[in-house]
Amino acid sequence: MSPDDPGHDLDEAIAGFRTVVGYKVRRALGAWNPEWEDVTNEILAQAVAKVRSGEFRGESSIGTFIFTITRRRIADYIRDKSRVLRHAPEPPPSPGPEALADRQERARRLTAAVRKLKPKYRDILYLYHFQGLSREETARKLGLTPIQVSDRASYARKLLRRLLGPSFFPSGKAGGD
Amino acid sequence: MAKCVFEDRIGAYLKGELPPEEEARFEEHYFNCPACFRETAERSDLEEALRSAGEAAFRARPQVRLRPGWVYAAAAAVAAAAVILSLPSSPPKPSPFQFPADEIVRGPELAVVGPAGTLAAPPEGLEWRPVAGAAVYRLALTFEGEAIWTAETADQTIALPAEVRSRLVEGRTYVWRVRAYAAEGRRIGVSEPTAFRVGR
Ligand SMILES: [Zn+2]
Repeated sequence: MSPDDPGHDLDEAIAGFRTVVGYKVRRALGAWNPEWEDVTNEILAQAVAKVRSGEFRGESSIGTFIFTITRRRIADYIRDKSRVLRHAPEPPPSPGPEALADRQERARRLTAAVRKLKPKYRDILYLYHFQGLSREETARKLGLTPIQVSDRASYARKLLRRLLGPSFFPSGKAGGD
Repeated sequence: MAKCVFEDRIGAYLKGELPPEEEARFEEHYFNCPACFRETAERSDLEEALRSAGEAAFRARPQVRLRPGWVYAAAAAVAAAAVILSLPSSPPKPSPFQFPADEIVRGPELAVVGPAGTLAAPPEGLEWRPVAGAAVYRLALTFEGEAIWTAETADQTIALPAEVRSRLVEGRTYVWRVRAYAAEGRRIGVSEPTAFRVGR
């Protein structure tokens, strides 16, 4: 289609949602499920088709429109999968050797970075991000207010970001890896 | 940059603490708010990496590094000798933590670095060589076949908690072993039982 086609801009806008759709799909299907990419592609293709057929009339934002398609597709996937699994249970997908090596390397780099932090930042990362305590539980354990927990955790993440560089955080980047 | 009102939902969302409708509302929001999405994705990456780094990331490295000269062959030889010395005269009682001698090992042997042999003081930690593909290592420190401490880590070294060190009795022989597991839970390596004795 030509760049003058009014649909062209919307197609481009939809392509820009690949990262966020992919993130939501992986979260729902499991990080190591190899089908996440196909499901993501289907969602984006559906969105394009619906826009072309005039189903998107701008009553909601394009983000909400794509979110709705994403939710429905994930619900269908999970329903179909549980039907299949009842007959032939399969083990949850696990990372391949390359992904494992990558994960080990990331763990090594992160460990080195965490060890450079002051104890108060290590403690907050440990309780709030590693153990996954709620903000309130973390606050109680450290004798802080919940706001102070947020602020300190945010600063600890900023320090890690500085030590590790942006390449350490691939999920939010457009175009994946 | 102005703070988005939804930003304080990110933590609870990632911990799965939001009720379903609020979770959906937050997801709809980050489909519309690049700043919240970027922050959410970045924190996911960080939390995932922290989980695979394991507890070890938060412990200071053992202060006293194990002697650099410890290599597998030497350690294993000392360990073998110590194990024979420490065999109990009565038949050992079965324990869920005991290591059967005929354990089948798939994949590479796991080489220990140390400690092994006679030590002047309780060891600060345990160290071994990494195994390719290992996601987690499980440790067991035993006395006369009974586990007195077990732990797991993604690292190739682990500090011995002060509480455990204080329980080590001079003159007694302790045996430790490490096993490596792939991410899906399959065991891919196991070390020789390695013995050390504190003092005398
Ligand atoms: Zn926002």
